[in-house]
Amino acid sequence: MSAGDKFFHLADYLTDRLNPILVKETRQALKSRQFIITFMLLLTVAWLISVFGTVWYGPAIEYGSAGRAFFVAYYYVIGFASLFVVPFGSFRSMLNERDHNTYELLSISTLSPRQIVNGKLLSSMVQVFIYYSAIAPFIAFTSLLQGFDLAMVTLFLLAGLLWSFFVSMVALMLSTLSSNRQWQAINTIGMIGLLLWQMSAAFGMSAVGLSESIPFDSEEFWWVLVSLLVGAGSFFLLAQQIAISRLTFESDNRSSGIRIICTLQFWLLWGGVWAYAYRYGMAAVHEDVIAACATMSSIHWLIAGLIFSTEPDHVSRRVRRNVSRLGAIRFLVAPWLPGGRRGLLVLLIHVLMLAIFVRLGSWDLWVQNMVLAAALYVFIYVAIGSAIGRLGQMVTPEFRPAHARVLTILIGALGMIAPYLPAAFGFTRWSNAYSLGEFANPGRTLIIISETAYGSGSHNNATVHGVLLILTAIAGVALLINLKAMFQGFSEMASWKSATAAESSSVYAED
Amino acid sequence: MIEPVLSAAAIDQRGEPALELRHLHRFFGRLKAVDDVSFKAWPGQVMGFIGPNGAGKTTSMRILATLDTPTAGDAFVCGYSVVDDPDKVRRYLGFMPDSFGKYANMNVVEYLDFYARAYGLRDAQRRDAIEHVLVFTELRKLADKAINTLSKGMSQRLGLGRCLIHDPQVMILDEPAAGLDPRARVELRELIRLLATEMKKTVLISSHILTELGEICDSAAIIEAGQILAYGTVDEIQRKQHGDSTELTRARSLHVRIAAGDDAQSRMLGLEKWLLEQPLINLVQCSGAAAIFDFEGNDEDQQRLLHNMLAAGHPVIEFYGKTQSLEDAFMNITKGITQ
Ligand SMILES: Nc1ncnc2c1ncn2[C@@H]1O[C@H](COP(=O)(O)OP(=O)(O)OP(=O)(O)O)[C@@H](O)[C@H]1O
Ligand SMILES: [Mg+2]
Repeated sequence: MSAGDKFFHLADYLTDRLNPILVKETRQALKSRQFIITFMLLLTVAWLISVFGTVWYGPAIEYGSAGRAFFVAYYYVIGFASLFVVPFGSFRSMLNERDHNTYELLSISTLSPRQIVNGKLLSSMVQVFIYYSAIAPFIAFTSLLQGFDLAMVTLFLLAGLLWSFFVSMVALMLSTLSSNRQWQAINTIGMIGLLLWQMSAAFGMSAVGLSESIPFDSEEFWWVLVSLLVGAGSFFLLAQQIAISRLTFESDNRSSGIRIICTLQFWLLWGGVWAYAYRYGMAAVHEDVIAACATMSSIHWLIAGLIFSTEPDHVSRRVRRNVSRLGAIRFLVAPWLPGGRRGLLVLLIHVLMLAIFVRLGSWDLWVQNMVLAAALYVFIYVAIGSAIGRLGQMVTPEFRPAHARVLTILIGALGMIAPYLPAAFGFTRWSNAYSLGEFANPGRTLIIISETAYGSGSHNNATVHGVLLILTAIAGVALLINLKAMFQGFSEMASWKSATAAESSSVYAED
Repeated sequence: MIEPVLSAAAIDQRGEPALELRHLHRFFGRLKAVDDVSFKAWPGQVMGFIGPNGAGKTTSMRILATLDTPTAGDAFVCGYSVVDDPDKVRRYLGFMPDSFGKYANMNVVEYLDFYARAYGLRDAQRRDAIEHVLVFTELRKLADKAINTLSKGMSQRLGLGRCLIHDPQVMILDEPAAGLDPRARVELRELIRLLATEMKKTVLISSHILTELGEICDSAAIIEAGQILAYGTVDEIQRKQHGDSTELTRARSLHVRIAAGDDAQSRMLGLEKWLLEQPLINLVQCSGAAAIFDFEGNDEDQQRLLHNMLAAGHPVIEFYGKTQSLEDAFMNITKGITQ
């Protein structure tokens, strides 16, 4: 056995433990023109920067802060490779699987969608690592210069690395969203735009960060850093889960994973707020922060809830059987199980929780009112969407979840402009004063409620109470309309048994 | 629906089927692509799945491969339901779609290696599987060739090798011979025969190239517009076409050609007129210098017919009977329904 053979067997042995997609993609990447060109380009540009930089600085390189300038230049070079080239590669690689009809064969192997997504992600990580190690000698060179700050460099390199993983994950996720080939050229151009925009934003932010000294000893700094990490981490998980769900067969459970991650995000946000309040006292958490967090949570659940609650109510036999394996626990975790009816349940739980959290916090009345109003809005919109979805399905089986979602958004948009239509057509006068009729415009209404904070005269608490009363009444109606469906979300699960031979051979078992 | 040719009792004597479709339905909106399809296949059996375009072959096969789920009914691979245990089914099933994509920057061994890994094969097991497939498909010489440069014949072999890599019990091949030249077709057929005889695999193979399937299939299901029209061994299907009557009164199709010449057209008209006057003859079709018709007599009747034809002065240069092939059975059974 030659040395080469031995190496081959060792490599074989080691790679056996790795994700098969990773092995395949890495092999392909190392042979691909795109990788080789990027790699050579990266080395050339970094080398040019070193040579011309040194010449340009001349003797001044010995003092001053040349180290920082060189680092910034190398950082942008590696940024281009890791924030643009690699994420775009992972976007294309997933699209190619679908385009070239290779995905189906992959999907019926024993690889799980999770392994496929992770394999794609890992292989882009490997590429990023290779680019980083190519740039490493140049960074080592800057460490010899004045103005080189090890802590800062480490922080920025790490941040860049993590951000590139995040961007690759999002790019992968987006590539699983479009299955329509007609749109692919547009999607690809959109993706390039998005990546360029993201890269220049990242460059801009790091330019600001690199020009300042980092307050490592400030507690605030670490709170912000950890919050950012946890927040981005949670969205990373969400993107991963969405990609996995998209690759999962339609007849499998595509929903629970996403519902769980959204729940987790909700708890992370409010857990963070409570941890901060616990550490520094309730008074340290300003009402504005609560209002901002509540707004984020509301938007988050508005989108998630609309998607969950418009899912088809029809649950496949495969899912029913798997759910029935949970036994009685299935009724406890029902809101996290697939199906539109249970989607509305999971939303209801979280908007209730949001309102309760803020009430418990003994914050100012205006923020409590604002959060209550936001929660009511979210529930109303999603409940409307859910009802539209069911109604549409009753009318025609061709009615898809996307139709319900678009209709709900249209209704929301109509609500926003409706209060101003009479004035627009000259039936009434324009007035700057808030009228109760404007409850249909959540943006204005929430701002008006928040303005009561500083006792700004024109809007008093009576107006706010009026609005809250209207919203509560509408939410009550929305609840009533959906009550039966929500109850069915629980009750239908009682009849889910593991598929028997009789069931599987009965012709219309599915309907 | 025509009843299955083979009675259920006769089938069950062969033990557990490796492949079973049980009242399988798949609707796309109002279109019934697969409409109550049931049949079984056993280890070591090559089963033909024959139907015109749009009959529902690919749809059924995709359900078997767990790429799609039935609207109703179920299918079983080695006893596992494609609806309830798709993961187990995938382990026992190899699927070769009618067209499959190829990765760029990848050679034959890497391609097989990738799928071996994707099916969880490791170490020696994986190397053996790849080696076995390379030998079986005779792709060893091309091991280092980039897969997107392979010819159609070679890439079909590679596709067959890929779906063999995890040594599945049941193989579903969707029109594997489409687009192959005659030699490649014969070679592929030979490989498929080996799969059944040597490796005891169950092969379900779809095609509209019927003459081909006739030679390698020991049983067949004919499908049209989502419904099984005939099902059984190839012999049984052919016999079924002639009704249950005896050999003697079996209708056969006869072919006559007359000498071409200046007045061929008038001679042909004469022959046609003459044929239509004869007993036992139906469905006379004439084109150029040839006539085809159904003849419901025995050998003696046929001999007399030829004698009379010559005696009547028709310039016959060819006279032969076409026995019913699988193709004819197919043409007779299917009705050309499109939906
Ligand atoms: N995804 C789909 N959506 C809607 N209709 C479909 C879909 N897939 C197949 N069909 C329809 O189902 C019917 C059966 O198609 P199928 O591909 O199974 O036929 P086939 O027997 O494989 O035909 P061919 O010999 O042309 O490959 C066709 O009418 C086809 O148009
Ligand atoms: Mg087909």
